Amino acid sequence: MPDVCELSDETLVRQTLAGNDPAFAELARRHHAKIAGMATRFSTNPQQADDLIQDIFIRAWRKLRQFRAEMPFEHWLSRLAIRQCYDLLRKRRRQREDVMEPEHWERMRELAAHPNDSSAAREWLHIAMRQLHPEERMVITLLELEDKSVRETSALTGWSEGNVKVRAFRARQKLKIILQKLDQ
Amino acid sequence: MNTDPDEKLDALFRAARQENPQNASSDFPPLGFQTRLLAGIRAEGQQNVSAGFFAWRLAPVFAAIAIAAGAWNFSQTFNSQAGEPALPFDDSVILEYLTGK
Repeated sequence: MPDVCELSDETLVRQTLAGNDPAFAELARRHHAKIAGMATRFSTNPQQADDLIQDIFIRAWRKLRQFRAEMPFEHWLSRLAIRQCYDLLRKRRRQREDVMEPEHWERMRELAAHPNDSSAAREWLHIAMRQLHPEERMVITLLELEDKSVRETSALTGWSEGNVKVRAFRARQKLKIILQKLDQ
Repeated sequence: MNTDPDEKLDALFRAARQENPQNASSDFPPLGFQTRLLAGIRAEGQQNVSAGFFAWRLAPVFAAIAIAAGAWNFSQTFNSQAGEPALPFDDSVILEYLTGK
């Protein structure tokens, strides 16, 4: 019998559906790095990122019967992960966890002094994106930080390309206004 | 110093992209990730099983209620038929009803 590491994603999906949970653990191991990268972009701290990764894989396990082999498993999983990240953004917005406080403005002013420092830039964007709607934040993160094309973003989110462009434009406008405010 | 917000924003995105969390993390998930995931899946599975099991356990109760309701309905219908005399119900009754006489 072949080792689980040698089996294709589709075979592992079939084995999971037949009740072999370790086959799903192997699928999760294979795709962990990609999902973790995505989850980290949308989380506020490492603990939240860990929980988000766990939730994504449990959701994938629950919806595995809906997977059709006409698209690669990785793509199906990415779409599902994006949906879960979007749900998290909306939940944070509802619970007003993403509100900008005066100390955030102070911190952004400090960070803006080092625009070429990658971790400072990342933190700056993380704070500034609190001002964006979940849809705008999702689109700008995928386009500018995950380096996806408009078409890829549209495929991942299920929103039309026109919609993606409009949301990206609005997000950039809002971020530019923040930059201008900090310059004053 | 650059003051164009568009260029500034692009510079921020460029810099943030360099710190790619995907590259920063190892190819292997952290220790215990798969164990935690399998535990989560089992807990999820047990929740589904217990919901289904609970529904099955309640099935005889619902069946007994349905049978009792049916029996009560039947007895009520039977009693009313037995107790009341049959009404004359022919065309003349309908005609009277329709013409209002």
